[in-house]
Amino acid sequence: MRVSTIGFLVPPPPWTARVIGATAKAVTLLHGDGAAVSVVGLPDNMDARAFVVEEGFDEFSRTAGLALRADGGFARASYDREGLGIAGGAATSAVAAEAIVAGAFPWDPRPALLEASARLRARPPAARGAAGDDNDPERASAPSGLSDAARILADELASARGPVRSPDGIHGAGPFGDAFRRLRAGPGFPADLVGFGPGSTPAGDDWIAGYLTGRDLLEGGPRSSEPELRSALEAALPRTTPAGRALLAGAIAGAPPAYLVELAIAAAAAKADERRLREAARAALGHGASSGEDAMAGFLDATGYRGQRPDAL
Amino acid sequence: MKRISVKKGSYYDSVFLMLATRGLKGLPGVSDAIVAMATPMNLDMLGDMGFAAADLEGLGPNDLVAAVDARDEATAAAAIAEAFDSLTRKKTEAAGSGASKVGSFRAALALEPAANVAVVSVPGAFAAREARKALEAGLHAMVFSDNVSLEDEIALKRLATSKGLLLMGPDCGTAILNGKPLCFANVVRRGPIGVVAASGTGLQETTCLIDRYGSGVSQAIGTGGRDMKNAAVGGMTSLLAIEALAADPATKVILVVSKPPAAEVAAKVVAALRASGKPSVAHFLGAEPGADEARLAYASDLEEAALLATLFAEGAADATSAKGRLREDSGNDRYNRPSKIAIETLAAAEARRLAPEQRYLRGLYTGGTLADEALFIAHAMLGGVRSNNQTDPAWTMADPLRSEGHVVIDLGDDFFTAGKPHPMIDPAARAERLAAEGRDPGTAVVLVDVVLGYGSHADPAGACVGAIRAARAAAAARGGYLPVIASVTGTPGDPQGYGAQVAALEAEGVVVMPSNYRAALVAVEIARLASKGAAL
Repeated sequence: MRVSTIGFLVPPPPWTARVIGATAKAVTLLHGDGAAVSVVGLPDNMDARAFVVEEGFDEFSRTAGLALRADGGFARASYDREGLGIAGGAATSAVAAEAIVAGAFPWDPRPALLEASARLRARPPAARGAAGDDNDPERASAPSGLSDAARILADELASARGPVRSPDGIHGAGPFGDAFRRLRAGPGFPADLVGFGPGSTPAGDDWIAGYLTGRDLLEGGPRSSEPELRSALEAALPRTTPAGRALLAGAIAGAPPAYLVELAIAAAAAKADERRLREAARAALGHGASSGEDAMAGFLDATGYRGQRPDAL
Repeated sequence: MKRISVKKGSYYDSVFLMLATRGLKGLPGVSDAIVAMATPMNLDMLGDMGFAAADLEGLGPNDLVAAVDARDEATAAAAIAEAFDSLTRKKTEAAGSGASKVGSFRAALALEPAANVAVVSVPGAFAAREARKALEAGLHAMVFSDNVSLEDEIALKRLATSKGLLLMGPDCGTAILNGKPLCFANVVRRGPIGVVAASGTGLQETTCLIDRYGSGVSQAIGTGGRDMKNAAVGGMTSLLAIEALAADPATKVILVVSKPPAAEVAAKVVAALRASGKPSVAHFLGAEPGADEARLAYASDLEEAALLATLFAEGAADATSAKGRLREDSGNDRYNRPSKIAIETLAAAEARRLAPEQRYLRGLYTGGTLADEALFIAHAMLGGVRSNNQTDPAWTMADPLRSEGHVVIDLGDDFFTAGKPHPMIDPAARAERLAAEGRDPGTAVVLVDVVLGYGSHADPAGACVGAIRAARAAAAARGGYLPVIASVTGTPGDPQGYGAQVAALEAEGVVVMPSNYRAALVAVEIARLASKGAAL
């Protein structure tokens, strides 16, 4: 079994953490700092703080699941210089995973995001589709330099939501949707979204991650935008779940999940490569129960798009 | 009655939480439900919704809360118990069902060295590579994945053909091999009819009807939608499958189902059927049936295809003799098929109850081939039907989210499923569209399919009866009446149970016909009468 850290945010060894979830895509560890650390099989499923088990993730996940069940939810993972393992006590020692950290996976999306932002900002205003290019009201409604990308993303988002939006999410017509619209009109938006909404990673956290990714792209790269919002978010981290904290910690640090990184890079290049952006959008929409959709809505908001966006309805 | 229950220190995948919420909302007597993490913002919202503050005290982001608004205490308690039970079930299934989990094709083969078929269901970009591994290891491959390039499909099928192996797919959703249903497939009795199908729900509909007519299936081989349709693919899998069925002593009759094939491929397929020496039936959806030959009958719809194959299996000597037995009288025949006269009578009775503004057919399908069959019938009889499956640009829906005039919609199309489960797995999108059509005063009749079997939703009829009720209530509130016509593709042996699904629909006043073909005829006739004002 080959295991690598994939994010610069993974706390250095040694530490132990409670195993809180084991699913087909990720094993979730509750680190002592309150934020989750994920163990994934595919880099595409990564969060900001994660390990990737490059071969044998299914076996690792199964081991974690068995340990969870055997220990009534108190199984632990340990990360030290020997590697990453499941330490579930007597009941699970027979199935403890052996793992070797075979060299850190050098995943740090910040240089790529910085380059994408620089490329976007280097384009002349006309090529960026800035406000005033023409009289198209939708184009003018996205004065950010990402108007082409925004329209494509809005199109993909609307298509994915099908004939009628799900009533259960923050963009629906149910209680979460009603509350989202109220929050949106309030003075604390979007910081008030921390921990808000359905999901183990609350939908509001996804929205914020998408929003920060979009704002950073426009403003010069990772951590370049929204300093006050970032401070507010850091203060609010205890108000969300371990998975939400991990996501937001990454987004605040300029390292959103991989699918959002690709979305941002593709959005910056949308004029030349629409197909890549559509593929990135569809991959994002397949992420989680509604995480990708919520994050895309936040990203779209960051571009200033005010066209036929479902949020605006 | 608002009730809250909490699981302290619980973690569940977001998808499970979403499904639990949706499951609770579908329970009788439950008006609203939320299953979410107990973060401060979510607790504030629950407080605003009227849930008792005392119940929300002391909770934190690591706790799971289930909040239910139900008609009474007992319903709320039962709903919450069901929510937590379903989450526990899903977590247990995800954590380790007892089935071996492996990380690679090689590891899977090491566990099952005697396996001779591999099912490939990975993102399209990787599917060709995995299928090639299977073929090179000497296994037949069923490629469930879509988004495999035409070039890869051709290369894989050439490799498979050179090795005498079947490459089923890509985008092959169903097969029954040696009695084992794969992916979306139904529990049908084994028997003498071998099926080769380039259409998923076409295979399911014909195999289920064969079962209902008292015969059975030896093998049902999916080929992937492009196999016969695309001249470059050339029907490689279909031809190999026909050859295999010809050599199979358990197969006495061969049935081929496909959308209209390329002309040169059709010629090859027909030649292969002739060469098989076995009585054969061919049905090419949307194409004019060919001229029957002694041992080769052309069917004009899926129901007729299944019935002709059954009649051959029962000993019909030739196509003329088999078709002679298809004649209908005024009542239901021995295969429980209502006659055309009975259908017209039923449709007229339904149409008489419509309001004058109700004029249009609204077909809402989860199965692509079933949608196509209904579309072909409706387009011909109603003089033009819009659809997202229309090949004629003049009749392609400009906006599949909005119905205009007569429409037949394939809700399993990529347009609707990007980032979402297929509606045969999660019929929620169809239910929402159904309710929306009910709110349209122009809707005269709704036509739906309900597809059972492995892979499909556990209760597809139950998942749409609420929307049917709402749609009919909306029509009634306007002084109208909304007929809903359905067919159920399934068998009594399916996990969902054919009889129970039919009963659930009929309990809501849905007219359930014995095949998609008959259901389409009824709905189209109602729409025809409504359109020309006969309803007045």
